[in-house]
Formats: sequence, structure tokens, C-alpha cells
Amino acid sequence: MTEIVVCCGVGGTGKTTTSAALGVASALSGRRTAVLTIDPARRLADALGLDALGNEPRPVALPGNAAPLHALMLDRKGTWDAVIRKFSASEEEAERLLANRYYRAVSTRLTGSHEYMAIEKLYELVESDEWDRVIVDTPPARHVLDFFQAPDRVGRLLDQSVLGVFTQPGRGLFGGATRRAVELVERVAGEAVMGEIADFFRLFSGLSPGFRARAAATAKLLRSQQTLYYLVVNASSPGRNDVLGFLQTLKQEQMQFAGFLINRVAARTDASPVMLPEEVDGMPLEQWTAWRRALSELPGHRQARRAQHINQARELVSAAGGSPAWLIPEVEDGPRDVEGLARLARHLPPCPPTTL
Amino acid sequence: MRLIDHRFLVVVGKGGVGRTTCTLALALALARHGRRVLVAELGGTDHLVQAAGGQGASYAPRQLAPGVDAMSLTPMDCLDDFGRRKLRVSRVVSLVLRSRVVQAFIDSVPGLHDLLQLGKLENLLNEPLPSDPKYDICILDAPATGHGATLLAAARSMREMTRAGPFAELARIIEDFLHGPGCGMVPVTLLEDLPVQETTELLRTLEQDGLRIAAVLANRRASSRLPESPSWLDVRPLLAGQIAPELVRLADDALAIQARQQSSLARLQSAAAQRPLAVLPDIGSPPIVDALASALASLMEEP
Repeated sequence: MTEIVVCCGVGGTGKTTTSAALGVASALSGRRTAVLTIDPARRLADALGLDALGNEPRPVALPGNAAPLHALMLDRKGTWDAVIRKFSASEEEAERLLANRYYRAVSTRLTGSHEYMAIEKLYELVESDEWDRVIVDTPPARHVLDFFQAPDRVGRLLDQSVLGVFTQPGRGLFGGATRRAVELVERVAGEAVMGEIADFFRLFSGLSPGFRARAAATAKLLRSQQTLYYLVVNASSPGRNDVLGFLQTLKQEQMQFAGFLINRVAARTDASPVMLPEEVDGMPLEQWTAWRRALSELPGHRQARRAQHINQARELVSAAGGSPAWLIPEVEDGPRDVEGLARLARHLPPCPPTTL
Repeated sequence: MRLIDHRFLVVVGKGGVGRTTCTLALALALARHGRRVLVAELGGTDHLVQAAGGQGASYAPRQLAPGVDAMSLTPMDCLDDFGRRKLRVSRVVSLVLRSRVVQAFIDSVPGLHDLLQLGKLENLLNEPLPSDPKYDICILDAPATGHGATLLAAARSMREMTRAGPFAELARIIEDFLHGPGCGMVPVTLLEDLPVQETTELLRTLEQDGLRIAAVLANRRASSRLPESPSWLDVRPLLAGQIAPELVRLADDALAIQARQQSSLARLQSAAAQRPLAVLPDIGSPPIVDALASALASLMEEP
């Protein structure tokens, strides 16, 4: 059975790099691993030793006798097209849908369709049964809950439960208020848009049962025991309110929270208290006085930052009822290669969590 | 064009670089130059208000500071305005537009959220109703995923879907507006390797799309903890054996951070070429925005 690891977090927390490091850690511990990234910077592909990332898994060269590690980058449009082909009854039906203007806009731009396709791709990887573990980086979002809410919205849209009133004949079935709303929308949007949408749903209706079954299967998978959720947060600005909302949603949805990955924690130092000489040979006293002050302040600054990071980490852990946390030290400018990712991996699961 | 002469600025950048803080700081700096400024965010959030120490999103512009109003747009409010303006629908009938059916519709047309909200801002600036407040300049705190190029793409995608009708017209207006002379992008970055590389790529993308860069902001430059002269590299050998190795390591770290920021800044400067560039200090404690606005003062009159 494939284990699924989902890395959640808002933008700017180092989520993609952390996912890649988790992948390296997993392969080094002997699990066949695939890492699904969403929007990696080119340098991450470089760090993994790949020229580019594609929509299909590509092998990453790891040292020693690690299990295979593959990486792939979600191609939203490509994944949509593949799904349409898969569920269409015929080649011709698929082509007609792929050419529909509304479909083209949905597959490239609709809010939430990125998340929807990430989950679709994940399902595909799990279904292939080639992996012991699949690690998913989630799309960039301002809000950590987007990953869970967006796919449902898209699913409902495709299921016609929301747009049905615009596309079904026989409007007389609807009450006065709804009918007035529909007529008004048609006037605001114009005939052309409504025509494309109606066409799309007519073509799509044949695919609906396939999509519905798939949506039910992925929903079950995301709530199963085999799926673990980690939250990646920034040590200096963990965003407490966002975190609490996230934990509450996981609980409501009966999804398994596995812990915090707290990124960029200031490293420990034991250089205190500092004894510095009164004067230094070869340096004018006034220059040394300035340097002496600067040097004597360094340990205090580092310790204060570390103390702040640890305190905030403790608060998160206690707000989550004692969930484990892995503290990841600040790395000079981020990892540049697989060795760099492997060094990060020493601070990540499956290594034991940090004792706070 | 000087920064103060713009009508519409879009503050763009990846998550975590400090877009909201920079939006407010820019607004304050512009207000100090006598401009009436509107800061806006999309999707009904109240990040700008929170950054100014308040709470609660409001669609009606609300004063944040002297000369600076804030507005939180939602697609629904903007559709309501759009319907009334385009179709001369009365206020009573427009209540119909606020139904669940309509919400479902605007959620399901790709790019429509962005277009309706940008359309509202364009309207406030270019054709304000007698009852609307008047602004010299509007600054949009763009979403992390919605930098200038994706806002433009929303307009293109709508035009691909439909070539006639009210939405196609709205898309054309937005394209013209974003390409207009008074509109400029303001990319925000941190002085680190990866963000600077991404900003360099973003600058290229924006220009390819015909969007202007009004200014580039390098946020959170760490204040130097070490004297510059003589440098640590000269001082370190003189201290050999006289201070703890751990302290040497800390000073090495501090120097490395300084050097890294220096080289990131040099790369950013060369990518930004002739465009105005401001470096903002890392200010740990409030009032952050005031201090940053002061740091931006010199940028205002730059061509």
C-alpha cells in the first residue's frame, strides 16, 4: 500500500524544498518514493540533478543503495486533458470537449483547478502501485485550507449541481427569484459565454459518472489512514491563526495530522558569556572598541532569535495538543544539490521529532 | 514616469516577501507627497487593515491613515456594481444578483473574479460616479499567485472564450488599462539567492507582456551587525587564539549573511537596470510601515 505524505503551508515557507528533502529522506530510508511538486523554482530541479521536471516521474540520482526516488512537476492542463481522454467514450467525444472554449479556460485558469488536478495526479501515482510513498507539495496559496476546499468546489461545478440551472431547458421548474437571477446573469454575461458553457455541460454529461466515482475515491483516499498531513511553517512567522484554522479543518474532515515542519530555525550557540581582550595587537584602540562591542552582541542576538523561534514552536505544539514538531535549522542560502537536501533530511521524518 | 505620477500600481511577489507591508509603506510615502491614495486587496480579506493595526474587511473605502483609504473587494460586490453600471439595473433588482446561483456562476467562469475586481478599480479611477470618493492613485496588493502577468492572462483567457458581449468588453478594458501609461508593476523581493532569481525572471515576463515596471523593492535587508572597516577578514587573524572559536563562527555567519545580501543586491540591481530600486531595512518591531515609508521617500520623484 502506498503511503501519502501531503505538505501543506502558505507561500514562502520553503514548502517545495522541504517536500524534496522529505523525498530524499524517504528514498534513503529504503522506500520507493515519488515527489510531486507544483511550482518549483528552476533551482530545485537543479538541486535534484534534473534538467527539467515533467508531468511524468523522472529518476533522481541518489548516492549509495537508496531506493529509487522520482520527481515530477504537475502540468495542470496536461493532467486535465489526460483525464478527459480517459473518461470519454470515444476519441471524437474527447476532441470535441478539448476544443470547447469554456473547457480550455477551466483547465488553465479556473480557481481551484490546480488543486483538483494535484489530487488527480496523486491518485494516478497511488493507483500505479509503483511507489511505497508519494510526497505531495501543495499549490501556492495565501491560505492553507485552499488545498482542501478548492477541489470540492470544482467537483461540485462539474457535477452540474451549481450550474445546472443555466444549462438545463425548462426553466419553468425554478422559482421566480432563481429564474430572475438566471436571466440577469445571462444579460450580464452575454449569449456567447452562456452558449459555450451550455455546450460544455452537454458534452461533459457523458463523463460525469466517471468523474463522480473518481471524486468519491480520492475523497476517501485523502481521509484514509494511509494519508499523512504535515504543516510547513516559518520559524519566525508561524501565522498562528492560519495554523489553528488548518488543524480544525483536518479534525472536521477526519484527516490525520502528522506534525509541524518548522523551517529556518536559528542555530544553537554556546558562545556566552563572552570574554574579550581589552586591546588587540595591530589594531587601533578605537577600531577595536567598535569591534569589541559588535562581537560581544553577536551571541545575544543569535540566542534571542533562537529563543523566539523555540517559544513559537512550543506554542504551536501545545495549540495542536502535543503534535510532534521537526525543527529545521537555517541553511545558508538553501540546498544546492542532493547532498544539501540529504543534510536537510537529517532533521525530517522518518528521523525522530525534536524534543522541545 | 515618476512614481508619484502613476494612477495604478500593482505590488507583486511570492508569498512571504512582505507585499502587504510594502503596499502600505508605498501608500504612506505617496500620501506624504499630497496624493489621495486607495490601497486595495482582492477576495474580501483584511490583510491591509490588519497590517495597519485594525481589523475587519470593508468594501466601502475606509480611512487607514491621513490620505490613505483601504478597500477590500469581493467578486460579488463588483458584479453588483458591474450589473448596475452596464445594464442600468436598479438597486432593487440588483439584490437578485446576490443569490447563491449567481455566486456559483461567477465562481465557475475562469478569470472572472480577477476581471470584475480589476474592473471596479479601473472604474473608480477613470469614471468615478459623483458619489464615489476620488483618488489620485490606487495600489493593489496582488495575491501571491496573481502577479501582473496572470491578471493580464485573465483578460486574455476571457477574450479567447468570448469575443462579444459585456465580459469581452470588460476584458478589453482591463487589457488596455494594464497596458496604459499610468499603470505600473512593483515587484517585491527579499535579498536572497532564490527570490532574486525569481524576480529577475518575473521582470522579464512582465516586460514581455508589455507591462511597465514602476519600481523594484528589496525588502528586509538585515542591518549590519559588524563594523565595515576594518572588515572581519582583516580583524579575524589579529584575534587568533584570543577569542572563543564559537564566537569566530558567529562572526563568520554574520559576514556571510552580509556578503550574500550584497551579492543578491548586485544581481538585482543589474536585473532592474535603469528602473527605480529601493532597499528596505529589516525592522523587527513596530511601527514598521512608518519607517519603511520614510525609506521609500527618495523613490517618489525618481523618473
